[in-house]
Order: sequence, then structure tokens, then C-alpha cells
Amino acid sequence: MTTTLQLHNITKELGGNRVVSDLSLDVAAGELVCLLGASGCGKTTTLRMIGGFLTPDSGRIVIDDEDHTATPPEHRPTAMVFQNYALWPHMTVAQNVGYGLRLRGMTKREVATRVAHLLETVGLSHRADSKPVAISGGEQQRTALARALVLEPSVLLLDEPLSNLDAKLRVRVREQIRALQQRTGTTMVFVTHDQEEALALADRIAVMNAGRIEQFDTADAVYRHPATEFVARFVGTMNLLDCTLTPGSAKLDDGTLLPVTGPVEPMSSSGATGRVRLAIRPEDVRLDDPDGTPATVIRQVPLGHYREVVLGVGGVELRAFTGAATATPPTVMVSASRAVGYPLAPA
Amino acid sequence: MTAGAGGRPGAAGRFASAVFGIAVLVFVLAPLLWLALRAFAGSWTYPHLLPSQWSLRWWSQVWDTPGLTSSIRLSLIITPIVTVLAMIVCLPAAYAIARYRFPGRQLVLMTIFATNAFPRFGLFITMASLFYSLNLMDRMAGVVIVQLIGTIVFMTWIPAAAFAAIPPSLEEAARDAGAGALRTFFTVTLPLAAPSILVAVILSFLAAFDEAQGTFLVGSPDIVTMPVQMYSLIGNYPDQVAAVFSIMLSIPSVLLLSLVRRRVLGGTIAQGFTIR
Repeated sequence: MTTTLQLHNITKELGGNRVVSDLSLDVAAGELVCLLGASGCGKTTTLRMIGGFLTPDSGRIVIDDEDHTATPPEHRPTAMVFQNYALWPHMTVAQNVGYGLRLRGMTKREVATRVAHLLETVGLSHRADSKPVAISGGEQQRTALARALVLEPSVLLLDEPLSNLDAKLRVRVREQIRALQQRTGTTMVFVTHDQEEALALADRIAVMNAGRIEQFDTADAVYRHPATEFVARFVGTMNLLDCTLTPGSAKLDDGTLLPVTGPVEPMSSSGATGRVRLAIRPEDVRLDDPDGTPATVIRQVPLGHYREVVLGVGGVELRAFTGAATATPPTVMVSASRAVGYPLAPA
Repeated sequence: MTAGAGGRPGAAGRFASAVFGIAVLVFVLAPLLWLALRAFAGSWTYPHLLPSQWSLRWWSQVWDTPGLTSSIRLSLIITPIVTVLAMIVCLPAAYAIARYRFPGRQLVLMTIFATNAFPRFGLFITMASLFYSLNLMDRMAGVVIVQLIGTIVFMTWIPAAAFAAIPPSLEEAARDAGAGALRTFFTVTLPLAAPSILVAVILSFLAAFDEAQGTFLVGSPDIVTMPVQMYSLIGNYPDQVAAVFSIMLSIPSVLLLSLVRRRVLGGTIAQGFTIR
């Protein structure tokens, strides 16, 4: 597998704050990588450095085995889809898409052919002569995508491209982007704060926090094996219980023993036994384990294809997802089928 | 309040705004009307409401006076030069003010504003003594510089606001597509700011065209533009000649405004500023 984009120990300060801190990242050819994190975690700054709109204070940016750390944006083999799309209002959709090609000295006919082809790809042929103000948000989004794709970049950068769309459209465009990416084999770096978006789209997810990458792995690995407590909290819903681990069960602070029937994955040497912060996914909580510990149902919310149940166990709340179609009885016997343990800072 | 509830004006409100509208109209148009009548009047004496005789002789007198035609020619040469120079000098400055937070930015803005906020005659006197030593008195170059001063505030403030209103991402997108800084400016920034720059050009052109104080001080006795000529006309010729001349003086304004009326008031400005 060839590497298209490499970030080597990138650091960037903005306004006296260290926004990106010693960050390294490898993106393989044809891969879609999501930079996932809350606002202010440095994901957009990282993307803007890849695009050339910011220069890192230290570190190197290598694209297609060439050092592009100091290359201005117009000479980088990257193209960006901006969060607000940044379409030029004085040009038509076709002119927006063709702008970069005209700069490359293509003849009018070549430009027209390529633009027509790309507009067809994104389903905008009928809007070619419209101005950006006259088309819908989804169409503007696809115009921005076409404008970036037409440049045939080594790396396509997307800065929260779906955040301005409504929920239904977001899912549809997300699927379109994924399909387009697999068809064209374009390497993409996709910035988002929406973990569901990242899980659905990415080949690999880089979970960012305070300018660093907490974990860089496949969606499944990030979800099933969160490397740090931050990732455990940030991605998906997670129960976090402070407890003392004994073989086969977790002893809660009031003495209640919650059976853990499956493996407990230690995320550090001290995470295997003794005092830990135990992370249990709601879908890993069993509600009908005859060997479980009794729990009372505090509330339950039917959410269509599954049911969210909040349980009271030994003085703490435990969230569980169950596929059962009927309401959960007021008391259940619970256990955890698997869990991840994180070291607990000494109190 | 006599206005009806919910902000809808009542009868009294409508009457008041009608009176106000008419007052404004009379205030603006009546002098122009008087001027026009005066320019074509052969004989107009009390108590006649309109001239009793019509005549074009004032117009022919203006055309036959060599000093007058040369002043028209001078004005038509100097004003475009000043306007183009103002664009060359001020537009880059406006862009810098809009996009970069450089030290002294506030000071620059205030200084530009101050040249218009105070009576300019003091400035002209100081400039005159400087111009003497630079041998710019009674020279075209001196007059151009003096007129340039009055255009700076328009050509800097208005385009600066327009540039600042253009989202930086639009320029970044152009850079991303392969355009250098200069090409980005000419293909994205400038077209988007064009409606405001057009307004600035018109105001600058008219400011330069109408400038009389500084031009008189620096340009006399040889560089006499139309507004400077007005001074001597008022003293040395019959009223009617001055009336003819001031109508000619307002031709550029009327022409310019009617040329760009649709562009300025129509969609272009609105379009430039709705997209963020």
C-alpha cells in the first residue's frame, strides 16, 4: 500500500495557543481518513495546513513523496471542499467548476467536456448555467465537491462539508461521497465533529483532542477498542464506572458485584486489575443474565429499532441498549459481556 | 402618536410624509429649475413668473469665450487622471486595511477620515508652501495631487468595506484551484467588490471634478478648471452665463449616475453582499 500523505510531527501555534501539537499521520492511497474531534481540537487547523492555507511552525508535510511543507496552496496537489462551500457568486456552476481547469491552460472545449462530465457525475448537469445563489444547499455542496474533484487532486480535503445540510440530506450526501470516493479512488481527508459521520464514512478515524491524535484506527477498532478514556467518552455512548476489578466481576463503590462475563481489555498495565475506570458499551449490557446482579429500571426510551434503558445498579446509572420489542420489567438481572479498563488517577 | 397601531401610518402620518417628500423635492429641484430657466432666459423681469423672452445667447457666449472652453477641456483631462490614480493608490490600501491587521491600521483609517473631517483649507495652505519648494505650483501635477486628496476617503473606505465583506474562503478557494495571489484578486476579489468600487469611482470622479478650493490655490493662474472658472464667471459675467456654466458642470454627474443607476441600485450590489 502506497502512502499518499504523510504528516511528520506537525506543530502549530495560533494566537499563543498550541493548536496542533507534534502530530503525525499517514494516509494511504485511496483511503478516506476522518479527523474527528470537538471544536477547537485542531482538526480544521491540521486540514488547513495540509491544504497550504497555514504553514506549520515545525514538522513536515509530504504528499506523493514530495515535501510540500512550504508550498503555497495553488501549487499543492490538494483540493479543498470548504465548510461554507466558498462558491464564487459571480460565476455560474459550470464556471465555478471550470475555473481551475482554465488556469491550467486547457482549451475551452476541453474545459467544457471535463466540466460537463463532472457535473454529470455529481448530478448537476441541469444546473450548469445557474448562479450559486439560485441553487439549493445540497446542490451548492455538490458544486463545491465537483469543483474540487475536477482538479484531480492527490488528496481531497473536506472541511465539515455536511454540517450545513439538514439531517436527511446529510446522510444521503454522505453516502454519495463514499460511493464517489470508492468509484474514483480519491484519497480523502474528511474533518468532522460528528462521530456517527466518521464511523459511517471513514476507512480510518483519527480521533483528535487538544491538538493530538488520541487514536488512529479503523472505525470498528475505535469503537470496540477505544485506546484512551477520551476516545471511549467521545465515540458512541459509553458507560464509565469507577470500580475494583476482580476476576469475573467489577466491585462497585457500594460493594455491589457486577458480573463481567467476557474479556476485560486493559488499556494500560494498571488497567487489568485493581482500581480501574471501566468502560462498557450499552449494547454489551445484558439485561436477562440469571447470574447477574439485580438492577432497577429508572427509565426506558423506545427509539424505534432499539430501546434505551437506564438502570440503577449499586448507586450508579448504567445505560443499556436492547433490541427487545416489549417493555423491560421494572427489575432485571444485569451483567456486562465485555468491557475496557482505563487507569484511574489516584484520588 | 397619530400613527396607527402596529406601525402602520395613519392619515396624519401619510400627510406628514407627503409634505416632507414634496419639501425635499422642492428643495432639491427648485434651484435646478431656476438655473435651467435662467440659462435660457432672454429677458426675465419682475413680476413675470416665467422669462418673457427665450434665448440661447448665453450658451453661445460661453462657447465663444476661450477661457471657458479651455477650462472644460482641462477638467475633462484632469478628472479621469485623478480618478485612475486614486484607484491605483487606494485600492491596494483598501485591500490591506480589509484583510490584514497591521500595526497602525487604525491610525491610517483615522488619518484618511480626518482629511475630510476638517476644513481642508488649512491643509491646502500648508501644501501650497510645500508645493512652492517642490515647484508644483501652477503645474498640472500639483493640481492632480490636490484633487487626489479629496478622493482618498471614498476610494479607501468604501472598497475596504466591500473587500472585508468578501469571505476569505472565496479567495482561498481560488488559490486552492491554482490561482496565484494576483490572479485571485482580479478574478474573484475585484469582481465581487466591483459594485462598491463603482460607487467609489463615481464619488471620487465627482469630488475631483467639483474640487475648486485647492485647485484654485495650487493651479492659478494657468491651470483653471471648470469649478475654478465659476468663481471668475460669477464676478465678471452676467448671471446667465454662470447659470449655463453650472448646468454644464452638472452634466458629468447626471451622465455618470444615469449610466450606473441600474448597476448600483439594481441586483449587482445586493448580489455581491448576500452570499457569505
